[in-house]
Amino acid sequence: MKPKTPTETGGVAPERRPLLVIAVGRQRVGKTSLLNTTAQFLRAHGAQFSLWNADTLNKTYSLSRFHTDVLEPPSPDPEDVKAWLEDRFTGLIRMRGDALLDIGGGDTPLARLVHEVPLVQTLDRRGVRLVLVHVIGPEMADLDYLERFLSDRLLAPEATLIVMNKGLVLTGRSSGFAFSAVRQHPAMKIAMDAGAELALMPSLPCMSRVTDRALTFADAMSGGEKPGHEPLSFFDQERVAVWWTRELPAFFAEIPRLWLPDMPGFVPPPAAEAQGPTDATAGAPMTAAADA
Amino acid sequence: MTTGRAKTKAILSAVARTRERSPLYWWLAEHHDEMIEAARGGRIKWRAILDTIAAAGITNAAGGPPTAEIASDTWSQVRRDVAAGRVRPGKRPRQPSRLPATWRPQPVSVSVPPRSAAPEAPSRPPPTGPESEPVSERVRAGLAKFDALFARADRHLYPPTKRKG
Repeated sequence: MKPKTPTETGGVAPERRPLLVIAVGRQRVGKTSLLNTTAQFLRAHGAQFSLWNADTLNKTYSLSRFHTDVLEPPSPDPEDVKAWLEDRFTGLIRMRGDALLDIGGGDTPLARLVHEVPLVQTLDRRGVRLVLVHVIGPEMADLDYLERFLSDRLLAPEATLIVMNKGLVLTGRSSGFAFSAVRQHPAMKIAMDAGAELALMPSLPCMSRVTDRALTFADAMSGGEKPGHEPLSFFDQERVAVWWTRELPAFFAEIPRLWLPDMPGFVPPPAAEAQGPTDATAGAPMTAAADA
Repeated sequence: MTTGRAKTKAILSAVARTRERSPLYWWLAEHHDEMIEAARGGRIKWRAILDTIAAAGITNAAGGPPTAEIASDTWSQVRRDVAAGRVRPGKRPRQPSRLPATWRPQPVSVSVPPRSAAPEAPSRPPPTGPESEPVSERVRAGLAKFDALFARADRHLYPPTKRKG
């Protein structure tokens, strides 16, 4: 998708604004994996932001296992979580920072909140850009959230990113085939027409072996160990290294720069390398525009 | 064949009714007006009536007893759907179980092609080209990006194609 030109943005260069990045989607589509990966990658490249974990039901694999500074609500009661979210959002507006929020799947307090308050507009009026990340796999039901959010317009910011999780494709299958029905889904076209961006999250075959050990990816690459666990095999260490150094940079380069916290240490890979030998027609590199 | 059409309509109606909707949803839709009247503009205390709902055999989509959160959200969805005209309150479509016992589906002749040996190697995704229906420039660009992303992701599965010229 083409970034907006200065003409399209009224002659004003797109500006960096405080960000609230929220991942939504069905349960077990990889929201926490995406946020965990994103948080680690952003921090490794110099970004500063807050991490909020409202996914209180997910104890085994939560952001808090990988990051020591994660803020969590005081109780899992939905009303408490909703009040906690309001406090966080208020603080974000005041402090002018960036935040990544793991809200979990299913019936969430966020869904309740947006029924009461037009969250996108409320934050936008106060200078905060809400970036909604729809995480989907190749199943049609994975698009239910997107379809519903688009139809009732309760949470449909212009900064909408659709992340297709390649890790959900069965081994050996063509991911293009696996996602071919997703490509045809009307909700995808409506979202694209509204300005949504696409990205394909690369798979890490040994992801569960890394996360089961509560290893960071940096630790996993360097052979770090956790008590009570077998060391990660050398092959898995290499798999993580390839994924981290080659595939993730290309993935993050697909996302508009202003939709992520600033990464001063990140140099997007050259377009030719990012696009590979297929000489694809699209695949815009990390864009500076697409401002809301 | 009017009777046949009526049966078809009943089946389609039942299919539409059950698609991705829970028994709770349909119960609330059927009793929409009574619920509105009973609530009298106030908040419904779902926790207080969960046992009654469960005892009545009204379940969530998974067939289990609904939680207060699910009930609340389902009710919101029903109200939106009724307001938008997607569902008519109080309407109970005829279900297949209520069709006459003598009813049988009409046989349908379907020619099934012989099963060929399944290809072991993955085949290349269908080539992309002009969309079958007109799409905007944004959608066209989005689909092109979609194709590019997956072409890159699957490039190890296919032999490189020769370029012309």
